Amino acid sequence: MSFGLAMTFYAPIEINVREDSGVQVFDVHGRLTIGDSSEQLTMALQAVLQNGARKVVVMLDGVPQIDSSGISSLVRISIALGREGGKLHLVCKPGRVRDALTVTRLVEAIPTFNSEVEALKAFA
Amino acid sequence: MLAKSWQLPRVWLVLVTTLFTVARSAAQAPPQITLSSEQRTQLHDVVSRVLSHADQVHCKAGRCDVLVANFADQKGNGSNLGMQLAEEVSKADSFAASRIRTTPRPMLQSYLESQRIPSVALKDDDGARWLGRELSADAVLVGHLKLDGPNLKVELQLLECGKTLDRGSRKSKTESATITLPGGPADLTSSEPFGDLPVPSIGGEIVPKLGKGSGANGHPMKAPSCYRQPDPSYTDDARRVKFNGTLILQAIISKDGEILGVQPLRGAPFGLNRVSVETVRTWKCSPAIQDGKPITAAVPVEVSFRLY
Repeated sequence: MSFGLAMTFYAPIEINVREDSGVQVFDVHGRLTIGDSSEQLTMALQAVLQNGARKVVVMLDGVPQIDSSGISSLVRISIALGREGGKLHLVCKPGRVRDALTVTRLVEAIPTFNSEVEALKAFA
Repeated sequence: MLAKSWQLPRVWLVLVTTLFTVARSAAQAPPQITLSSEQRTQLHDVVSRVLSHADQVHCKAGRCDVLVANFADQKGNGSNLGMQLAEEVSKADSFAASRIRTTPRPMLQSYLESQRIPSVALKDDDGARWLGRELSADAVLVGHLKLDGPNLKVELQLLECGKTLDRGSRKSKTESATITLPGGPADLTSSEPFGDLPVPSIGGEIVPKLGKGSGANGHPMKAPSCYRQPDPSYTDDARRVKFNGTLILQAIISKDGEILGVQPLRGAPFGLNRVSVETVRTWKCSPAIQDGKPITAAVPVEVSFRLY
């Protein structure tokens, strides 16, 4: 697993949620690492799940670093969506975070795309 | 009072200077064997029989998710064959026929790859139950493999995950099948579901790793020293099952002594990865020194949990 370690000031994570063609799109900015940030994403996704969302895209292009806790959160979110008949797609361009998703074989477990357009299209 | 004092965890944190070697990883494992239709039928039949006991673990049709864990030998060691057979079992039609869902196996493999928990740490029922609960399953299907001459005995059992790791948690009746695999006795060589970690890097630059006699470009490196090392605490689950064990983390310590990242090299169950990583990230350290200058380095950190 590789780390995006250039950041030494750990800003809190920022999550913006919007809807596009019936799909909830999460724009995530900040480190997806152990502690509050991973839990924050899990809680945000659980909230939209409880509100009936079943198709979710998580945009990871604004995430400079992801660790084992962040990966585990994405696994649990995907399982939770799957249990309700939903599906999670990830958007992540090539780079350190994409490398981490590849090394941990998350790209084999959760469909991962290079762009939001591709991720949305795959729901159709 | 005496009993209470026995429950107090003792945690030792040591910067270790040698890296361990893990069992062969799945990535280095030999090619998978090809199962015949008869062998598949035997496996699927034993799954049907064990699922007929699903009510013994409160697993009700239409309301139950089962995690099929990687199968292990009698000592708890995982193997490439154990993973392959678990994969095959998870595809059994009897799950759909029983209206019991299975947790997608790639989710398990990705989880284990990120947490790097060795199979042997999950060999007990408590470890398997904890893993199932981590992945939101209601029950976990465990498989034990035993060599019997040229044959392989496969024992399957369902364990209730529950909300806590209670000793009274239910387990189903064990069902078994004996199958003969092609090519002689089965290869149960120990193998883990995770590969080697990539070389650590920052901004595209490789970070030297501290190890025995290590040092980039052959130059000796003086290990970092940490002057503030708070101990991680036991988790409720680890205390409940009286877990004793060691995990190894990799911490990247900058030339300013800052902890830039921590990840498991050899993890542990029961939430101990999380508390250990969180705690080590708060450590205050002096950097590694090479050629008289502070440098950024990747350092293995051993965390031992002992209950006395």
